[in-house]
Amino acid sequence: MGRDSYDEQLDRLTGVLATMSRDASAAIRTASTALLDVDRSAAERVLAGDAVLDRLRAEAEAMIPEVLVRHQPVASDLRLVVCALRIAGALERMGDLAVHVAKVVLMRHPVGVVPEPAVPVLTAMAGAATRIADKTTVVLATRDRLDAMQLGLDDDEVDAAQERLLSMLVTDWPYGVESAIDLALVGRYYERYADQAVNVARQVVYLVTGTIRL
Amino acid sequence: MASNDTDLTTRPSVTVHAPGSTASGVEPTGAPVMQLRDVSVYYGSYEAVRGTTMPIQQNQVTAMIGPSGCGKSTVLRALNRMNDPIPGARVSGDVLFHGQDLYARDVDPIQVRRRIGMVFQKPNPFPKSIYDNVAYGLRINGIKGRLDDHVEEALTKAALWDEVKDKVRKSALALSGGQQQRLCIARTIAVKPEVILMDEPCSALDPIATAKIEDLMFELTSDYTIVIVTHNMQQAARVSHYTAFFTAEVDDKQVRHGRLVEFSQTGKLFTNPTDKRTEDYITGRFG
Repeated sequence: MGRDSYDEQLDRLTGVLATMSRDASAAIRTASTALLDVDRSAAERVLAGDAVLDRLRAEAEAMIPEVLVRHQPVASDLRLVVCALRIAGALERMGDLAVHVAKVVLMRHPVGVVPEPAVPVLTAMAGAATRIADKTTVVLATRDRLDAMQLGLDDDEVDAAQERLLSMLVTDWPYGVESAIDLALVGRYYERYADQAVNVARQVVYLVTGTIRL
Repeated sequence: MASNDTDLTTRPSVTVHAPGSTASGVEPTGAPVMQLRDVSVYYGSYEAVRGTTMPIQQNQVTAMIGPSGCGKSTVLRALNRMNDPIPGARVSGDVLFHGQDLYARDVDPIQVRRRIGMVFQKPNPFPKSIYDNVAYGLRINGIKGRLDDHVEEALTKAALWDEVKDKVRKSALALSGGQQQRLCIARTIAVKPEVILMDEPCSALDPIATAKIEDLMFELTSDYTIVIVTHNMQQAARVSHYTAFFTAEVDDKQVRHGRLVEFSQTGKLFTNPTDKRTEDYITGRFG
């Protein structure tokens, strides 16, 4: 195994992560359409797409031991490989969380999950989560440390929206317990999704700087 | 002895992570046993290595890595005046051992080499018995006491005793390459040096013999300070606490000089080197 194949393997690993990130981003966008537009076929597309993310994660995980054993990477190569393992895990998890949102939609279909008063807050959550996902994809490609650190701010937006949603649900929610539980869970899925995206960004910061930030 | 930090940070072209900084969790045991201050080595008018400043920490393994011609072996040999017999060889700057300049006029190079021993790339036992190889240095140094005990102790420390105890009167040349190298280590430590210099000690050995020497190096750090030159970066990463990366630079007159680029704790140097030249070399993107 020569130098070319080493660089090729690292490039392929980076490529898999980029694809996964785009897919995880598409998944939350489509799941949000399914949720807010009560769109059954969109929800089904999210479920179908998740298999691809799972396969890509397995692909990344299979490549990593091979690169380690054949090339004993050091310095930024080593950090890339270590980060790739964590990033692939986080992106796959993001896909799962989008699937959870889609499953709630399918479970209630044709009834919508989001009653009128909750539409603005969930629109905000979906928007912020999608934006974070898109930025994650960009940061993975550019490896811009400052952009990566900025993602925490978007995450704060998701957290704030989730708090607004929860306080709506606990004060005179007129749509029943079932609806409140659905929305609490959906809010939680978005919040976790955004957290995982921040984890990816944090890995990028480590990849670039070699420093682990808490 | 002057503090490390002030000495080391005066050379901006070298990245130095002084002991006690972040990274790998290796803690130095105290003041460096040796200190190089702006050391240049010349062969005649040719400056082979330029301006090296770095510490050698006590009871630690310091590795020197870098491409061929980067001056790492030259610097290693400067540490115990092994370049002295080469006509025209000359050292400038300070090579301090416990604060004393090894190149001062009143310093006896024989005494230097007794306290700072060397193990070479190719095992080079004398064509004598195993026993006599180890006893040789003891005899010429007039070490008193029971020679047998000293020989056994040195062979034990070199992790060779169990393999040779029944045949110490047999020829050293009958041993395997790995055993011969451990015998050379035993011969070196028999005279109780403080520092052991190793110039690619495993490059002529198979992986099993290499692993034995590497294990031995780790054990020896309880009593000795080790400086190793190696072409094998994985070996440097495995065995050393500190790593010095040297490279060869071409000056404006198209003359190559060896230069220390980065000195760090090993974990730091191999996960997050500061200098791009280090990164390029250790990731194999050099040249």
